[in-house]
Amino acid sequence: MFKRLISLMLILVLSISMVACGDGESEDTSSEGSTEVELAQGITEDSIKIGTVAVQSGALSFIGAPYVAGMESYFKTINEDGGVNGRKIELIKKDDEFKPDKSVQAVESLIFDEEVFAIVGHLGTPGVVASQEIVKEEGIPSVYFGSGAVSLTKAGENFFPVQPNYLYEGKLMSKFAVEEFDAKNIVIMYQNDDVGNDGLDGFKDGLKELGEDSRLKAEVAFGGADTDFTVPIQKAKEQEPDLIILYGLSTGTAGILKGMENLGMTDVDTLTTYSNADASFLAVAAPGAPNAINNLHVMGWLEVTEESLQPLNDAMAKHFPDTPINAYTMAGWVAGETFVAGLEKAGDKLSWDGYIEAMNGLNYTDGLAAEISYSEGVREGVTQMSVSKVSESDGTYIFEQMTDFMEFK
Amino acid sequence: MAIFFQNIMAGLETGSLYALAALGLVLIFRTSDVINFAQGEMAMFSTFVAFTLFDGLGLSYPLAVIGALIFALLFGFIVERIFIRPASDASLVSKMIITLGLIMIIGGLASAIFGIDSYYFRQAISADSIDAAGVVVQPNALFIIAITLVIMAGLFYMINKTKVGIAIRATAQNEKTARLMGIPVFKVYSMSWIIATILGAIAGILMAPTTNVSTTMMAEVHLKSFIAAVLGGFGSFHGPVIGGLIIGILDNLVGMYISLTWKTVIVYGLLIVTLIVKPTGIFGKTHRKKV
Repeated sequence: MFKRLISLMLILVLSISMVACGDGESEDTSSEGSTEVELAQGITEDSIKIGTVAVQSGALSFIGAPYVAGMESYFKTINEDGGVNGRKIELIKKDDEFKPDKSVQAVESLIFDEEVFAIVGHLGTPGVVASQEIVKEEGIPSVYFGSGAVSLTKAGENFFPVQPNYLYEGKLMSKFAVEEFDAKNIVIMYQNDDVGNDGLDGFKDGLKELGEDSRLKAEVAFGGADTDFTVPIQKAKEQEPDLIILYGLSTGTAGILKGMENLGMTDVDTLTTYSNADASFLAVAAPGAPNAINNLHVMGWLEVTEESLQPLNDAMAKHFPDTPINAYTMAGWVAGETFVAGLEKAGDKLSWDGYIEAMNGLNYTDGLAAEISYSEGVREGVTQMSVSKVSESDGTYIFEQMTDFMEFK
Repeated sequence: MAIFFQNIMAGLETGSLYALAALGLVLIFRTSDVINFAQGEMAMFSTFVAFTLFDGLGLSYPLAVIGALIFALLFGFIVERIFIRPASDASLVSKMIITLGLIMIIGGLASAIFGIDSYYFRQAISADSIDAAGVVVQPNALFIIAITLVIMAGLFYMINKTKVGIAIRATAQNEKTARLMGIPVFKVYSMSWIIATILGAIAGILMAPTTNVSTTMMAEVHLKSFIAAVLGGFGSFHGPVIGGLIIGILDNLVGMYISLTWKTVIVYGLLIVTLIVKPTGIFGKTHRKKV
């Protein structure tokens, strides 16, 4: 009987120990209050440690540097105002050089070595996709991805994509093409990779759902690193299009526009992805395509007005005065906004489950994006977008919003 | 038919740029057996210098280009003198690894000095296009093709008709014997690096209006120039030029008449088949040792 009692006690002690050390999510408890609140890793009474992974060195750091600065300036602003529920946000930054293997290492380091509460603003499709499995397996909240990969919308409940994915954007482009441009002969020129293929599929799906498939006359592939765009442009030209969808990233799309200029195809409307809705794109594309650029339209998901940008401008001027303010800075800022909106909603329920539950009811409309909302099983991110047109004044090119925000329903 | 000739014209233009870069590779290879993997990075750096002189210092385009070519001259000399010559007794593999290391050094320096953004750089000739029976001909494209042919002819003349050429050929054939004959082989090496760097700079400056000036601008061109040199044969100067033009034209014709999506696979598949049939390249010679 005594031996059995000892055995039972041992089992009880072991069980308690295992619960205490077992999962990273409930390593800390505060038991002084009447209700016990489980705190996840990275959370203390006065701080919240989070991590981000972005390219900060090498050829693509022109994306990562302003992006991280935008995010960090938002957290600094929040901390100056006292933090979130008295907790200051501490951001750990990892540089993955835009390489998927380094990205996976960085994510693992953030989760297991730094023991962060959440990953915020992981930048770059290759790295995001490569580390998707580990994030899913661990269940750590991952908020905002600098990626339009479709897989993120179905990756799991702990994933909170914000940027529109390329498949959805492609669908919405078809709606704009039909309803706003009233285009009868559409040609889609797409970059021959995951980005372009998602956009192409989305566009075709959208036209099909709208019952307007016949408007698409040709699908023309091009390489993002090509040095000669004569063939794709000629193939498009043969169709005598009234609208060309340019679904590719900046280098290839700029190359196509310059090629159109050289081959005298300067009077056709073009519509491109939100990835190119940035002044840095205009700076490299416009001088080589001074006429073709005037017919360029871009998708956009940020509501950028002087008033809405003021807090970002102020924070950047204060904390990162030498860093340019561009679309990447704004994206980083939105990553910060989205994460903090979830924190505020979660209150003191700062376990991973508590945060995910809070995010599932989020409907955030106070930030730079028109609306960010999630519900159980729904991870579409931003679904409302508008179209802007390039306009020129005294040799300076800017984007001017020409439609209201719409979504594909 | 106009579409066909349009593709040929565009293929000749881009092919010429591959050819220019390939000529630089071949020149260094023929004199020292070394393949300069950093040729693209060196060209990128010189292009940045041209852009900075033009855009940053406000020099006229011709002056900026001349300035960049002078820089390329010094750049080629310094690289050979500091990085390659001290390793003259090292194995060929070691020398090639040095050129791989140069990629990292030059790339890192370019990012630190010129920044990480992309910049637009104007065309050499910015006159209006000419419509020739439905084929749009850009004066800039004609200029690129012409300059490639002139440089190829100049190199051909220099190699075959001048004392410098004899020195290069002798050094390429047997360095020790060349030295015994009084040929300053190190000067020959130095000169080949200088000329190759200048050729790379010309290719970079002419390519910049399409790819923009950035630290990654020459990646595709360098790869294709290497393939052009292999296809045409590293043993001749006209081979890489024709190899470059073949790649430029074939890329377009396959894309236009077979498949745009599969053109890369088809074109390079064909090139591999060519090399299986003739491993030394189209114009390469097989050297047989006599017993």
